[in-house]
Amino acid sequence: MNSELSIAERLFRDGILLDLQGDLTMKAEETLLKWRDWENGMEGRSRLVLNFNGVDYVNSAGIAILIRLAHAAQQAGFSLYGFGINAHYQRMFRLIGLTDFLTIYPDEYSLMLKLQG
Amino acid sequence: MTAEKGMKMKDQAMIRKVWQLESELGQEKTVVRELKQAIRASHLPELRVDEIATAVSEACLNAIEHGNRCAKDVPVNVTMLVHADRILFRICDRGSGTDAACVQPSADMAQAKDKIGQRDPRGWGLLLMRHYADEVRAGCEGGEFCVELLFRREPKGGERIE
Repeated sequence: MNSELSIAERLFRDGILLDLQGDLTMKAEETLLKWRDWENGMEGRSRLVLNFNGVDYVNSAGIAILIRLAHAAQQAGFSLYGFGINAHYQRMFRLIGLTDFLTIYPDEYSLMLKLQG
Repeated sequence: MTAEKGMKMKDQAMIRKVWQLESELGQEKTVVRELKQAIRASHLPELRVDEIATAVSEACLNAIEHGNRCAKDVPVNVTMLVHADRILFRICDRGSGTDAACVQPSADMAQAKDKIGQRDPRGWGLLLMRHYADEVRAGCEGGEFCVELLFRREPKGGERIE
């Protein structure tokens, strides 16, 4: 059965990091898209980082949610990053073009090094 | 043993597994978990196992959501046949098969770049099924609408992605 998505938020210098835990499916829509009013930005912060380490299952509805978040990021003018995405989902995200909007790093350390370096 | 009989023996499914799912979102994960266990034993690369699991999962989701309209007591029947050279899945629902046109060759990954520009894009499941499976067939049979996904051990050609 579905493992519902839960989110823990961490703030860093000019961004927000969301630790995702659970499945990225249709049931995650409310949780992720209404976590904040994404289209109105992040109170001046310019980077949103998604930690996928706790996400084992992503389906087509989950992809649609990520695309909607990417559109909101474009509209509000913040950048979207992800890490902890397994090889299969990385390939799938590249395949559908999601990586044009979501920059992928292997882990939190390398991403933060890049963002804060 | 005659050559013909030998071929038949060779063509028999090594593994046959059947699932009957309630039409409730999330039920497809049971199939995903169990098919992975079953086909890992046949020494496919892990990434290919994941691709197969994604395609089958999306076919199940379509059957649950669009075929049976999430009516929990209407079953989705899934059959897996693992042969020496291929793996075949048959996913059947009680719908009218109105999505059949979507599995025709016109629906391919070339649409993805247009699709991702839409604000609320749907239908990624069909594109993923078509991309990951070597053959996709669909049709009505005995009051059911069935989608068949065929995965060859030797892919139809070269690197699949990008």
